[in-house]
Amino acid sequence: MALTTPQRDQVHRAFMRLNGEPCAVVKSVIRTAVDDVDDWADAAATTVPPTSYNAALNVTFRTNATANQKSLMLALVCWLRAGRPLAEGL
Amino acid sequence: MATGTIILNPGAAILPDNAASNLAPAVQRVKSSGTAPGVYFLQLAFDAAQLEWACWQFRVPADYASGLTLKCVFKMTSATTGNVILVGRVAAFTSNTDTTDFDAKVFGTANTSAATAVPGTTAGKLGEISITLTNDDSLAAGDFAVIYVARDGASGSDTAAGDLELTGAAITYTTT
Repeated sequence: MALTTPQRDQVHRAFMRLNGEPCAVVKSVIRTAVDDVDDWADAAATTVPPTSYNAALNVTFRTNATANQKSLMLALVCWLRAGRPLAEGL
Repeated sequence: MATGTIILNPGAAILPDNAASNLAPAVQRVKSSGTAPGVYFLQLAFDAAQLEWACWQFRVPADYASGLTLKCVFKMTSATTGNVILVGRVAAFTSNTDTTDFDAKVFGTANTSAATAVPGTTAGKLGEISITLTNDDSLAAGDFAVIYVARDGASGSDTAAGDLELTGAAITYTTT
């Protein structure tokens, strides 16, 4: 099941807290990437997704984020989708 | 006339209690990654998603005349693009004259910086933001003052991701 909007906001804040690499995108791009990743994970959970993970990311995030940052984003979304807690409150 | 300075050291910051609208930045002791002996310093880490603030108290010097200005030296944890918004507020009290209860004192109207680009290209590079404290709560020489410094991470105009790290601040003013 897709994350709720407050949960997506939670991932957004957690990503900014945990990311330790230079970040060449602004907050709104990261927040859109959370939507992208959760939507992709939602599709991938039930069917073969029509696009790759990388292609599902908005182009600004895709072209500026590092591989580690893309992994962190996916990990955080999946962590919350698995019902695990984050330090960031809802 | 000259320019006077009051140093606002991160180690001397007074942190709010983290109640609603009283969110505090984290105090961090940093060790540089340079060859030992690494440079150590304190910084206040302001969140990207909410408004956090700290304050400093002091007696206003006798040579204070006008031109109260807040200077904030900062860097970003990770952001190399985007803007940040800082806010300065003043609470001033004239001893033996003001009749209100200082225990119930409130800050004056906010002085908000322009949306200022982060230093860019290299996270960790220092930048400086200057805010003219036009709303100075009628501050005068000899007053007891408390200065508030915030990052308004909740503002839509604050677009930079990750923490803002305040490494130092100062109040400057024109002397008599």
